[in-house]
Amino acid sequence: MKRVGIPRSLFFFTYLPFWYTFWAELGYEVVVSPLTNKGILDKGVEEASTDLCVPVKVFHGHVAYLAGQQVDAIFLPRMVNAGSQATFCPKFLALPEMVKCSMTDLPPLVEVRVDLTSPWSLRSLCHKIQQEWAPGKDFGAAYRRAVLAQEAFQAALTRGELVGSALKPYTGDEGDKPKAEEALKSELDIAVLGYPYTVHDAFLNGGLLRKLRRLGARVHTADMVPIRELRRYRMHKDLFWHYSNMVFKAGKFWLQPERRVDGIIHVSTFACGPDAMVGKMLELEAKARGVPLIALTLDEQTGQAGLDTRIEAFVDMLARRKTGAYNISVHG
Amino acid sequence: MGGYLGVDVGSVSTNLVVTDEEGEIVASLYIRTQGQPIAAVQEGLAQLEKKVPAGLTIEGVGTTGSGRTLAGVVVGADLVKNEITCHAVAAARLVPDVQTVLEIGGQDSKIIILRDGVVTDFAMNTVCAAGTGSFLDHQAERLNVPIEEFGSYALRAKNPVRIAGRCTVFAESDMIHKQQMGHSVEDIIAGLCEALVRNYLNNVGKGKEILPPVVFQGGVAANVGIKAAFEKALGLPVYVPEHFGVMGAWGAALLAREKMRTNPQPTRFRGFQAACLEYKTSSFDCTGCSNQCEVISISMEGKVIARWGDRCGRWENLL
Amino acid sequence: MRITFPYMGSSPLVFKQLLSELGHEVVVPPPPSKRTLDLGTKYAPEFACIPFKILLGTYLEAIALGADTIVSTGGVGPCRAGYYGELHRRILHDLGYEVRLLILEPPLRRPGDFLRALSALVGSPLTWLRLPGILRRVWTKLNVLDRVEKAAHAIRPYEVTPGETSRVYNDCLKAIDAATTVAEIRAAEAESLARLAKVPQDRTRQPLKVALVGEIYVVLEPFANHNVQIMLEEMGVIAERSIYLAEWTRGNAIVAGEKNIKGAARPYLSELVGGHGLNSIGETVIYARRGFDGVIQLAPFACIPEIVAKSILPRVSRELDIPVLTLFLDEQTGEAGIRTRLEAFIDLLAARRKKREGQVAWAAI
Repeated sequence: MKRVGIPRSLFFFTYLPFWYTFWAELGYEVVVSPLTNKGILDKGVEEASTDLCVPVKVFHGHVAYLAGQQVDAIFLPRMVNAGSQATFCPKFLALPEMVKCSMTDLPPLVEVRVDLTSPWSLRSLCHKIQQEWAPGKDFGAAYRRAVLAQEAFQAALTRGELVGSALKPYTGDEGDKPKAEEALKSELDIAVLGYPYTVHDAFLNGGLLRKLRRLGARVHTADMVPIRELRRYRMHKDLFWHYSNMVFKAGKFWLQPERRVDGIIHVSTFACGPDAMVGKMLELEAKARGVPLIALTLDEQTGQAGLDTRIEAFVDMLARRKTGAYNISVHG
Repeated sequence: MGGYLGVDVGSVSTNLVVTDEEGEIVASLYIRTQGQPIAAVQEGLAQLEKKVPAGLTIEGVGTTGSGRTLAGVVVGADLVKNEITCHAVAAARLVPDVQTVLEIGGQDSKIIILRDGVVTDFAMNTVCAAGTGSFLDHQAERLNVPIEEFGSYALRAKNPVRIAGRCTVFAESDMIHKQQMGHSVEDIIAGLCEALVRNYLNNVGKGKEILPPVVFQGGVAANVGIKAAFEKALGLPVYVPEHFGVMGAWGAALLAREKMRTNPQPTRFRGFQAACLEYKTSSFDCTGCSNQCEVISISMEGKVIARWGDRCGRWENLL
Repeated sequence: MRITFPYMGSSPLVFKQLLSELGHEVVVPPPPSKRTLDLGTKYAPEFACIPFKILLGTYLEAIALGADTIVSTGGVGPCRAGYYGELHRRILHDLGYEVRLLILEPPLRRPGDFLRALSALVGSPLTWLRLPGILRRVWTKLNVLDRVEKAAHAIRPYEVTPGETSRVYNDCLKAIDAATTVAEIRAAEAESLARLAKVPQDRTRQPLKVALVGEIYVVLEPFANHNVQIMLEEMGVIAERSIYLAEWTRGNAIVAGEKNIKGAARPYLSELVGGHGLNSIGETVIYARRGFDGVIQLAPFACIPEIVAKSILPRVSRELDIPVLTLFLDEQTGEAGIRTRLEAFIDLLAARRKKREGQVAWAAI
C-alpha cells in the first residue's frame, strides 16, 4: 500500500478530514505527523529561514519528520484561496517553494494549488490528483466521502467540540482535549482567538486550552463559529487574509453582549504580519465592548513559566471582575 | 624597526595591537570602552606605549569596530576598515586555508565565510543580544559564577539542561525556571552555552555553509564551554587563536601594513602622545535643509579636526 | 479642507502641485525624522512594518500642523500596506482626531471607493474640466524628478568632491519645485541636467555595480533606509534602484506591465505573494543577467512578502552566482550597523571582481 504523509501544521487543523478521507479512499495509507514536540520544533527552526514565523518553522519540522517515514509522497498544497476575495497569508502562498529551497532529499511532494474562487475548482483539482496519483480509482466516491467527512467535522465544531477531539478519528489522539477530571465546573467564558495552527497546537501555545479548562473556563474558539454567522459581520473593507477575517469576525461574534464572554485571549506569534493588524483591531473592538483582552505572543520558546503566569493572572482578574471583588477598569 | 598599530573600538571593549614589520603581534591590550571611546583609545595608547619594544616606530595605523571613524580621527589612521573584513584578514593570516570564522564579541556576533582566502559571505546579528557575550556576562552575574570560570563549569556538566528562547528575556526566564526546578549550576551553565550556540547558528549562521577549518574568535572565545558546544553542534574541530580577543585590531594593523607597503607614504599617526591631547566632541542639528542632519564635530586642542553626519557634505568639506 | 499626504522620496513635490492645483490648501508634511518614527512607533502595533509607523507619525505631525484630511492609497493585498489606510483611520479616531482619510483604492477592484475619494478630491465640475491639464503638468513633473534624480545617481560614484552632487541636486529640486507649467518644468529639467553634468568627475574609476531591490517604501524613502543609495554611491559604487515612482505608476497603476519580472522569477516563485516579494526575486535574476556585482534587498522588519523573497533568494544567489545582502529595517536599526554591513559587502564584491580578473585578492582591501 502506498503511503502519503500529511504534516500536522497550518491547514491541517481546518482541512484534515477532507484530505485524509480523500487519500484514504484513493487507497493510500495516510501518515499523519505526531503532535508537535521539541524535536519537530528544533528541526523546523534549523531548516526554515530565520525570519519566518514559528508556525511556518514548525511546518518545516513536520515535513522533515514525514520525510523520514518512508512515505511515497508528502501532501503539501499551496493554499491560495478558500472561496472569497481573501487569500491565505503570503507565506502559505509560497510554502512549496520555501520548503524546497531550505530542504533537500524530500520524497515527492503533492504540490497542488488550492484556489476555491469558483465552486467547481475543488472537484476538478481533486480529479487531477486522483488521475496523477491513483489512476484507476473511483474518484466520485472518494470525493463524496471526503466532502461528507469535512461536513461532519464542521458540524462537530459548531456544536462546541474542540478541534483536537473532533480530529481524533483521523489522528488517533485527543490533541488538546482536557481529561475528564480536569474539566472542572466552568464559571468563565473565554474566547481564544487565533489561527487554528496556533490555538490547536498545544506544544506551540504551552497547552493553553487545557490550562484554561483546568482553571475553570469554558473555551470558545474562532472555528466554532459557523461560516454563515461570520458572513453577517460586514466590514467596510475586509482584511486580505482568510484566517485573519475568520479570527476578527469571530471576535466580533463572541463580543456580542448576548454571548456573555468574560474575556478574550488573542493568540499570536512573534512578528506575524497579519496579526499586527488583527491584534490592534481586536483590541479596539474589545475596548469598545468593555471586555478585557490579553494578547499572547508565541515564539519558539518552550519556557512555560512566563506564559502560565500571564494566563493565571488574566483568569484571576476575570473571575474577580465577575464576582465584583475588584471592579477595576481594564483599559487605562 | 618599523611596526603597525591596529585599534578596534567596539561598544564593550577597545582593543589595540602593535605588530612588527612582518605583521606579528608584539604587544596587545584590551580595555573596556564604557561608553567613552575617546578616553578608552587614549588610555589604550598610554598603556601600549609602555609595552612596545624600544626602537619600534609606528609606520601605519588602521582602525576598525563600530567606533572606527572616531578612533581614526583620534589616533590619526591611515586606514579605516569595517570589522568584518578585519576579522577575516586576521583569521586568514593565521590559518591561510580558513573557510569559516565565528566571532562573538560583547555586543554583536558575526560569521564570515571564506573560500580560497576571499570572503564570499557574511552575516551579523541584528537586534538580538541572545547570541553575544553580554548575555553570558549577565547570566554569570545572576548565577553568581565568575565569567572566567563559566567554561570550566560547563565542561563539568553531566546533563546540560535545555534553555529555550530566541531572546535574552525568554532565555533568562526559562533559566530561572530551570534553576527553581533544582538543576545543578554546571548543567545550567552548559545549557546556557548550548543555547547561545544554538541561537548563533540558527540566526547569524543560518543558511551558511560551515566548512573546516573553523576559527572561533572574539572575547567569548575565551570560554571553553562555548568552544565545546560549537564542536558538539558542528561536529568539527574549532580552532581558537592565541590572540582571539584582539583579532579585529590585528586585522586592522595587517591591512594598514599592506596599504603602506604597496603604496609607501608617511603615516598620519599622531604618535602615542595623542593620549595626552585634549579631544572634545560636540553635535548640533544642521538647519541647512529639511534633512536636519545631526552633525558631529571633533576638536583637538580646541581646533576642529573632523566633522561628519551631514548627508550633503556641507560641514565635512569646510575643513 | 486642509489636506496632507504620505511622504516618500521626492514625490511630495508632485503631490503638493497636484493638490494645490485641485484647489486645496495643502499641508506639506515634514520629511520623516527620528521624531516622526518615534511618534508612529508609539501608537502603531509592535509588528506593523516601518512604513506603517513612519506614515502614522507623518499623519500625526501633519495634523499638528493643521491638516484635517489625509489622502493615501489603498490596495487589495495580500501585502498589508493595502489595509494601512483602514487601520490608520481606526487608530487616529481612537486617539480622538476627527480627521478624514481619503483612500484611493485600485479603480478596477474597488471602483466605488475610488470614485468617492476621487470626487471628494476633485470637487467642483469646473475642476473636472481642468483635470487633464493638471494631470499633464503633474505627470511631467513626476517624470522630470525621476530623470534628474537618476542623473544625480549616475554621477555621484564618480564625483571628485564628496557631497558635491548632492548639493547641486538639492538646488535642482528647489528649481523644479518652483516650476509649475509644463514649459517651466521642462526648462528646470534642462538646467538641472546641465548643472549636474558640470560636477567634477573622475571617469577613470571602475565602480562596482550594485542593485537595490525590495519593498517600495523603504526603497524610495531615504530616511527609512538610512540613505543607503547615496551611502553606496559615496563609497564609489554604482547603486541602481529597481523602483522609480513614475515607472512604477506606469507599470502598476496604469498599464499591467511587469511581465518580464514575473517571467524571470518563475523558476523560483510562481505565485504572487503581494507587495514586491515576487519583484525582489525577479529583479535579482534580471540584475544577475545584466552583470551586476551584487544585489541588496531592502525590507521592512516583519514584511511578509519580503520574508518570503528572502527565504527563496539564497537559491537564486547560488544558482546565478550573485551575492545578495538583505537589510531588514525597523525603528531599532542603526545607521552604523547598516554602514558596516555595506562596507563589508562592498569589500566582498571587490575581492570577487579582483579574483575574476585573475589578480591576487588577499582577503579584501
